[in-house]
Amino acid sequence: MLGLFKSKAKTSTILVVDDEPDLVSTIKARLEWNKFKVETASNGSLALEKLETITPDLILLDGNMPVMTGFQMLEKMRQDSRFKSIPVIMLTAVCESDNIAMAGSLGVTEYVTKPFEYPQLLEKITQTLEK
Amino acid sequence: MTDIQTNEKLNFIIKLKSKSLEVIFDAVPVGLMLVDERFIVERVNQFIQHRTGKSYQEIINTSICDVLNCIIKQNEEESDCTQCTQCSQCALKTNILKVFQTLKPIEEIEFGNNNFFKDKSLNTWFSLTIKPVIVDERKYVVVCLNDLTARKNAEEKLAESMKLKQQFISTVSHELRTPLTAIREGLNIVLEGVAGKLKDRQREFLQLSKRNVDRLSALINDVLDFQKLESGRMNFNFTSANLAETIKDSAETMKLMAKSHNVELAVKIDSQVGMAVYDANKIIQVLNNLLSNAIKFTPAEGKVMISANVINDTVAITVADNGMGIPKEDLPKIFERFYRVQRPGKEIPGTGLGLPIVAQIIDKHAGTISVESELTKGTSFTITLPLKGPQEMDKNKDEFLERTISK
Repeated sequence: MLGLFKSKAKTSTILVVDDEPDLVSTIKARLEWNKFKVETASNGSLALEKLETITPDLILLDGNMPVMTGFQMLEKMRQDSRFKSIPVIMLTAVCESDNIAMAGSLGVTEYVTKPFEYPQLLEKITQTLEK
Repeated sequence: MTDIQTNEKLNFIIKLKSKSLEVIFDAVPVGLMLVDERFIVERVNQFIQHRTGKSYQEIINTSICDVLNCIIKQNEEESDCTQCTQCSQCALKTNILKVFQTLKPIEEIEFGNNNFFKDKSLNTWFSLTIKPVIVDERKYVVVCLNDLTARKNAEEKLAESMKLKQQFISTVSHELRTPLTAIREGLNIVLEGVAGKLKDRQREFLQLSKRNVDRLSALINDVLDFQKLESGRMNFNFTSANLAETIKDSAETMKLMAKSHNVELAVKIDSQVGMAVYDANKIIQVLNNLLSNAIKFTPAEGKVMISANVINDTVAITVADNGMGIPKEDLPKIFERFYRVQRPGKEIPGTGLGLPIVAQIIDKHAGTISVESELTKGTSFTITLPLKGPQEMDKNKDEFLERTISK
């Protein structure tokens, strides 16, 4: 953990995209406690709008959301040269194996299966940011 | 009375009896036919006439295969029974032949075929019972046709409602899990001081809440696990791994709990225990469960030991404690779901699903589980696992776990 902050001069910004507000607020509280800057969006479409104004260092992306799912958003993101290289960690339910395979073809290698324990998520975030 | 008078009286009684037999024969709600060795129907009751829609004259002295519209013949235009090439495979014919040859009855062969009956839109189920009889020194069979449709429909409804019940439990559990996760995470955040400093009294009651939320989560997870195992939706990932390491991992995880209960946890793994084919996550779940039980039911200063050794091509893992023991009358029931051993004066938390889950997981590994226990002396559970993993188990066969219960 500490190593991360030493190596990174600026505070990393994380965009949390999930349609469960309670989940978002707990993750936000945790991440801010761990000195991250947090932005949120409740579906893929709103997240894409957000990307026009901010460039996060990492996106935590829920798979299943109304209006635009995480997988649909991922597809759109990967077609845009500006957002192509932003690392993404998917937050998925176990039963979405087909979608996970699709996300894999779009370059997503990190998954956290819901329900998850926070330390497990933090570890994935740290690993991904260090890459 | 003269002889003539006696004869008249006897004849009268015989006539009356055969008349009433005829009425009874027609009234029974089972189809009855008397069939000779050439498959010709000599007697038939009204049930058959009603269900086939054929008159007495149409049935008598014709082949039983024609009467029942032949099982194999699918449409009316095809040639008569006994003419087609598949006749020798007909279940009706072959079974009647068998009864004539062996003179032994065949009971309740089930058919689900609506060809037999007039109303083909009905999804009819019935059973055939064929019994050999001798009439005037001639061999016959009595063919009984029993309508099973009501039973089959009830069975179907039962299966459907079982499925609905499973779906319901699964949906409810999932729906419960989401808010529960949020409650748990909210409590964690406050307890860890993320949302500000806590006073001791505040911490105390939040910890109480958290303990109970954890208990509720464990219960829901157990219900979901059990449901998945029971409906065969639990995926198993059998890979080659080091079983000694898995046992050590589990013991390491449970050390904390043993420490908080002031129970000594010892590990004794024979050097022969090594690579085996199993689902490591599931076996860890099994060992954690057995160890957690052993620790829970062992008083302070007691001892729990997990040991393992290889016997031929299986590995035996034993979790033994010197705790309170299980009463003899409870032993056969501890693998039943929701069964909890009554402990007067002592409330030990649990879901009653731990051991049923353990038993199912071991069963899927083609292993065995056994228990020995003596009150106040202690309990030991032994599981055995084939080193090569489950070898092409017959999936259709409900292989039930062998449970040796002694003492």
